[in-house]
Amino acid sequence: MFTQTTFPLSDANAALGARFRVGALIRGGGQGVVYRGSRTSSPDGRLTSDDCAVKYYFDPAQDERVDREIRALEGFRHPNLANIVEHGRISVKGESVRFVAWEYIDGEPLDLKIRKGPLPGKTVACIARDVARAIDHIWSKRIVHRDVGPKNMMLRKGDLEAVLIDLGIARHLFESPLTAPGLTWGTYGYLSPEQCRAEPNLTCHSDVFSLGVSLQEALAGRHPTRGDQQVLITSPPKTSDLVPSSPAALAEAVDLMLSLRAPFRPLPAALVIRFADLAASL
Amino acid sequence: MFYYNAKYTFALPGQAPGAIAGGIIPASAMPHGQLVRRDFRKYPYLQHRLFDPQLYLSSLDPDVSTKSVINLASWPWFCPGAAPEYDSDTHSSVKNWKDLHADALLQSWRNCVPNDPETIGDAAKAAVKAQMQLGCEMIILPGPLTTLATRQYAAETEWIDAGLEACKELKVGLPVFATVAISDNVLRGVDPTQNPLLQTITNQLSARGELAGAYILPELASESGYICTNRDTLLCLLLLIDDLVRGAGKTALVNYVGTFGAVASAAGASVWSSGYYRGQRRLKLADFEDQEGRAMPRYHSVKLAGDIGLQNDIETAYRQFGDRILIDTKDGHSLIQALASGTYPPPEWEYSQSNIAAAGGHYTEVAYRLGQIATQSSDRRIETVQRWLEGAVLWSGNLQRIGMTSSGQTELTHQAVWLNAFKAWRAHAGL
Repeated sequence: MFTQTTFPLSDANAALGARFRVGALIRGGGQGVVYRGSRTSSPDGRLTSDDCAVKYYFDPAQDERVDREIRALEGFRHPNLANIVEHGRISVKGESVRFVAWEYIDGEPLDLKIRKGPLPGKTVACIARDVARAIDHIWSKRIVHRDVGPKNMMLRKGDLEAVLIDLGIARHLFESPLTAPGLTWGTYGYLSPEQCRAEPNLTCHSDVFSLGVSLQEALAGRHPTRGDQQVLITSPPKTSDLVPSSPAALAEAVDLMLSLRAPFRPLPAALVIRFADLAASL
Repeated sequence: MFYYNAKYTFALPGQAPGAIAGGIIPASAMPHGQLVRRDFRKYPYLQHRLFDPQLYLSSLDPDVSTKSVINLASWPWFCPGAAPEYDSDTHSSVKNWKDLHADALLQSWRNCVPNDPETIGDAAKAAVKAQMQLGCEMIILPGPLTTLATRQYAAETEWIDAGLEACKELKVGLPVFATVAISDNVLRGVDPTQNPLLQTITNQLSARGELAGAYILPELASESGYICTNRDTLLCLLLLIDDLVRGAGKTALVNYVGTFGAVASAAGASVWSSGYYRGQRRLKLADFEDQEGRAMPRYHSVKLAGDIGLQNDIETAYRQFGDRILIDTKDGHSLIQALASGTYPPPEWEYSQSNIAAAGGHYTEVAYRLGQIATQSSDRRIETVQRWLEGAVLWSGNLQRIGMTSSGQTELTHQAVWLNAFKAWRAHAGL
């Protein structure tokens, strides 16, 4: 199995063919690498000029997961979700490697943005509105993202528009879990109480909780519990305590998203309306 | 608000109030072909009618619950196409229709809930369609009985989503409710405030914006009496309602919990449904077995929040406490008069088989009056119910002090449990 350092990029690019031009590294990890790229034509020969992010997956054990991600997203066209451009398999040094080309989101990941400091209330409201819209859309197909967090949100258009990316561990409700019983997926520090309890069938409430944590982090410029997951699911901090200067209506909306009992959290469709109003008024 | 659980005969018993807000007709009451021909206009309470598709009865054994299974199997979400629909021209009577097609219906009975998506989709659609044809004011989606304490709740959510899809396809403009039928076996013995199944149910239901709410029915598999006597089951019910109503802003309809429905309304339930007969007060699969027994009259004391036996106990209680433990209703008036004048029992309250018109009318009036609690503000409702239950605990103690014991006719043990569950819910909800 390849790793980021052993992955022969030039061989992979050659296998991908001349239709793609693969450029700079965007992000690397244990399961794959993502590069900036472009596509000049579709498999059926139609000319295109797609900016994309090409992800190569190293780990064959991830195949089923990637298949699900692709299946989940293939039917979607949504402005707040990264759309799939093309996917397939290539042979690299005798190994079958999965690739997925995503619509390239020309922007900055929220985690990098937060490192530069707290974000203004209006920006936070716009992020909330757009990511809630994306969560609402995938939940209408009964898909839960399960890894909503700043690293999976891209900001663009002067930080007034957000796109939710990487449905790599998203799960359709009716599909059997790929994880072993008692295990959960997601990023520590953003998990909902239900994820921590390893509930097998999560809902949009879980993504709403993770979004709430991300919004607090964006307002504060740091993780609300400095990464302590346990505090988050027992006594999450009040937004107004964390950021006393945050607009009261915004703080109140974010706090509701962090309700420990899932039914007490607003549905994403309601959040879209609430944060759209807030974004317009701030 | 109190709804009456309609039976085969739609007429309300005795002199039950005509102002009852609505009724729920169960699929097992009669065959499909018969119900669609019934005239609802004669029954004011059925102008606001709901229809319960009773998918949760899918596991009934056709050999022992033959009558109910024949009725249920006539509905297309159970056994589509098993028999031609009843037609008065062809069959002349429902009895003839049953005689002709009973075998086919019983043989086609699946004895389990279907689990392939296509069958589920078709069944859900048929159930929604039927309710639209029957002119129901809300749609109750068919749902299986939850009998396993797992956290999956996958079969149940599959049925809910199939039902929602059907509503979308059929352009239903009515409020849509998910059926939450749970066996008390999976609710007992686990701290209700930490019950993972309960958390999963409320999580799944509240996440579906298309649902107006839930139609909740605990199956009292572990109970032998008319009412629920288990704190865990009752507290689970209240927590479920609270999460859905106060948490998710949904509506809760509760059935088969007797007059505990009034307690449920304090926790936020909009509608609770009951009726005089045991099968109208509780849901227990064993009650659907064919039985030849006849009902006996029972006196329901609202003060006691339970029944007092008519054979001996009612006179004993009256001698000691006068009419303070009784309540005057249209059908109960003659009973109070007879006790006062020493001419007990009046004929309509005589303890004999099937002599239940007055007892039925009295129970229904009591339930109707308790149903009026729903018109109070939320805070006032909670205080009213707390006082009512505290009073019932006192009355239970009073009756036990004069030597009365709990029996098949007199209910004296559940009052403290009901109050305990209610207080535990208040503490948990911070109300």
